[in-house]
Amino acid sequence: MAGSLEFIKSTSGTSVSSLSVTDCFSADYDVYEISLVDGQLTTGVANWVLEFLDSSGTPITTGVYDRAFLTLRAYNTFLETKGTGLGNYTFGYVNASESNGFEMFVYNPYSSSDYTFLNYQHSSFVPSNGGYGNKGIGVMKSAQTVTGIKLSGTSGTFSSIAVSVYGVK
Amino acid sequence: MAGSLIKIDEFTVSSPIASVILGGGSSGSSGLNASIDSTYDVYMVKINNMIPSTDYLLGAFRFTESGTPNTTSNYDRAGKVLKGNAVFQNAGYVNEPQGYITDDRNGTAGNESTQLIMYIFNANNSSEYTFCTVESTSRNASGDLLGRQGGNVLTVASGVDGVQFYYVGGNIDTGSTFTLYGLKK
Repeated sequence: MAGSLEFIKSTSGTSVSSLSVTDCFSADYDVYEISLVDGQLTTGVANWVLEFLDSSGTPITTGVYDRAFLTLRAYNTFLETKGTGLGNYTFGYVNASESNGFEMFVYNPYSSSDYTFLNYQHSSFVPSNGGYGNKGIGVMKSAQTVTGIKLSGTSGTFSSIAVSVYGVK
Repeated sequence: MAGSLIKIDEFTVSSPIASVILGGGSSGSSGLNASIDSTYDVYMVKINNMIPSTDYLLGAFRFTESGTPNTTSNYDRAGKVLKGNAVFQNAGYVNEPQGYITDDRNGTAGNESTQLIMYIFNANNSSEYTFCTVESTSRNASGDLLGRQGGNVLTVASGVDGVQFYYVGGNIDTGSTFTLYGLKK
């Protein structure tokens, strides 16, 4: 029997400042699962920056992102982060010593009449401290067609980065 | 290779309706006569665009046994309520008459909807409680982002064959889509 989690595409890069996964959303699915399977900087530390791509592949950077995530730290207290009307969705943690990953569900990105919602779980490691993760939600408050995503860091260059996108039929 | 996430049941609301049952055999909303049974150990529910037909309604669920919702006060929940514009909340309660999916009310002003992924465990094992995880992302009736990360348990050792979703005190509106999957053993 055919399964209902259908692979759409994988995109990866080395020595890049960002990675765009273009044309991964379509009218074929309402809900998508995105896997970050590798992400590591050449040096330093940063937070992940997610931007959705509009119908022409241009990042949507107007103040339409709301976010809320809980940061779980093995070595310290948990933290709450929230915000509304942001220019992108910044979350998580990426560094040069260890890779990290997240699983994210994205809802209704291709619909021109619905907002695009997301939720995710992220796992990482902070050198000299310990395990680090996020449980988060978000919404891009613009009813427009989203065709892909762009991932970057708040600073730095990725030595390696790889993302896979699946449709949940 | 065949996939391992298998769609079992699906229902899209075409006119306002009091509740939707996924699985539950002949009580199911789709008419597919689908059930949660021993075919799979773990089931997944996907909800997309669950919206109320009247403003300010709270989304909830109950498990079904032989197609009938279990309405006893045996639902426990524990989770973190994430909010885009306010302090997060710990939500821990025992012996409630139903499970909740967002911990706040959806509205009708547009995109005040709920999206959800739920994994269900031990459902069809009549000697075990039924557990589920809840991961929701939504906007409340004021247009504020919120969601829940946590879980629920029905503290009854019974054979669960489906799950019912509804808004407390109102109807689910047109366009809300509910899907049940099995995770292949």
